[in-house]
Amino acid sequence: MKRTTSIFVVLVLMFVSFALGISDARAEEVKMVGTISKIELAADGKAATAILKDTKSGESVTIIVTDELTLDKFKDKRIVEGDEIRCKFEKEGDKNNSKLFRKTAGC
Amino acid sequence: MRKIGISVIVAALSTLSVISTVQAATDHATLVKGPFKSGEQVTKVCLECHSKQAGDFMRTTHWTWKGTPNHIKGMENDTKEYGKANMTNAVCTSIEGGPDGVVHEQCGKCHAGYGWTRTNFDFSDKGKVDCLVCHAQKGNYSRAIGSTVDYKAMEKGIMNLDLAAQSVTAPTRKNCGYCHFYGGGGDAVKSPGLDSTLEKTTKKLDVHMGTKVSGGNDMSCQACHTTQEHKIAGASSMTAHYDARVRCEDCHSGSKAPHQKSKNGALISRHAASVACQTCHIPFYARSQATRMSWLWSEAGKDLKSEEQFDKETYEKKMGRFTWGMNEKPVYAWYNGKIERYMKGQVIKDPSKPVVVTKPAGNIRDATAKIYPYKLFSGDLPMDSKYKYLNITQQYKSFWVDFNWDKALQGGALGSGLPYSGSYQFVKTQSYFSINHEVAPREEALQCGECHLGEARMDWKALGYKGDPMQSGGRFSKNNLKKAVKR
Repeated sequence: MKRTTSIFVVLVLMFVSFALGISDARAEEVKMVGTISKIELAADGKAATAILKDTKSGESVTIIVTDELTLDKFKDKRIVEGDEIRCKFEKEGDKNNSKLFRKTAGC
Repeated sequence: MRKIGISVIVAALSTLSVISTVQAATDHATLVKGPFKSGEQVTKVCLECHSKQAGDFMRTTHWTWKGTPNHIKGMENDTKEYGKANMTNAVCTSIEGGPDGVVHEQCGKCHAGYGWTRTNFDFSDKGKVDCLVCHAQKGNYSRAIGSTVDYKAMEKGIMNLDLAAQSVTAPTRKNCGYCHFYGGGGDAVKSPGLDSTLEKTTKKLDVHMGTKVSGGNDMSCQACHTTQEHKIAGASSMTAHYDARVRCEDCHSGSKAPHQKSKNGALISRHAASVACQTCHIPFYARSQATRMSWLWSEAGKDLKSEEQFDKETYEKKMGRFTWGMNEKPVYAWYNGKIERYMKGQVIKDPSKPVVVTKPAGNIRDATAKIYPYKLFSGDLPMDSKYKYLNITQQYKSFWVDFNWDKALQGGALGSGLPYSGSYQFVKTQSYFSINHEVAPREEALQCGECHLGEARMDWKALGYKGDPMQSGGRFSKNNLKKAVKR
């Protein structure tokens, strides 16, 4: 009986939170291809901001990069200003957090 | 007695100290000064101490791009040499196209040497060896079209050749990956599970190469691909020659033998007579980023719209139409350590069927063969309508300029020596690429019920079994052995 009551309570809470939009604060995911106009590494080397100029709209978008692989590429200049990048980022408030940041070029 | 003991310990510690000093990487910053203006200038300095090593390297397939075809079934005793230098494939096709092999200018970007831009390259010149592409750790060393260092990057200040020369050590994943992560013309295109994310991956994606922080072993490439006199162990599922093989058992045997603590250890180990380690331990491939699953060269040169699949383009005018796959389930085939390989000029008997460019050799009756996982890569290539063989195409400085197939095939014939009749048609192709990377954590290895008891992962009949061997018996079961002998 206790178990049934608990499950019922959980289900009610889930329904209420869903109805009020509390639990579904998902970030919007955006894809773009753009050319890097600026890269700035944080002093501790654990993050960087890259400004990409969208090839379609021409708008400049600032992306925050935190994954180590890409940061390494910034540090040793394997990715530099002028490179064309395929990027996927999540908009969280006024921040665009990178989820994918790769050069488009092949060999 | 006590004194002797202490002396022995001191002597042992001194010896260890000497050994570790010898084995530690030499700091070349004090030895190599510069300034350098070309790759060859760096090599000249390297050769002052490492002339033998350059000589060793020049006897490897990384330098020659060919070797005796010890990997190809039926050609094991052939003394003629084959490889990337003179074979064809269904990915980037061939390096032979164009008058005097002009496409070497493009393909030579991944040759560990300077100046292989034409057929007359001097393979005996040690001064042409590019030491840096495999050994430089700093300075963003990079190569460019023309089989040379990337001079443009140097001019822009993106690359520092002096720093590159001073930073040499044993190769890291970044060095090997410079070419091998980009096989097939781009990141993750060709070899399943071998892509740029391996440079810094997690245990979940690769137990061997995952970083320590993620719980992985952070192993270098050469921990498995052992080297001897610059010969590197490993056999691609496309290449004719190997110097030595890499086997899981090289490490996982003896006291480190697998499944010792498993509940069904004995039963699992019995599988090892017919099932390769990779089959259970790499249940899915392309887990970090998508790999190319098909490539239609016949669509190249058109003005078609590209879509996006797993964040990758599905069409490029220069290359054709592609499909991509991520978290793919492998196909399975018997492999006895040899491959069946389409060779240049080989006549295609039935053009209505896919031409198998490369495929593992072996079958259920071959006791040396085991079931291995593969990426089945499909595509198409031009075939000479009259001579019935796959043509060689000149993409660089021909097809990629004017998108004229006829001209590109004439150029291909010029470089390869394989005549083009003037008439071509596209034929379908199939290639089996072996899956050896992205070994998953043990918890994610295949369980019994994922292959047996009605699950569709294994096509048992295609593998030669009557049905699920858990029910119809394994190939070494007494009944099945008798039947095999009768056959």
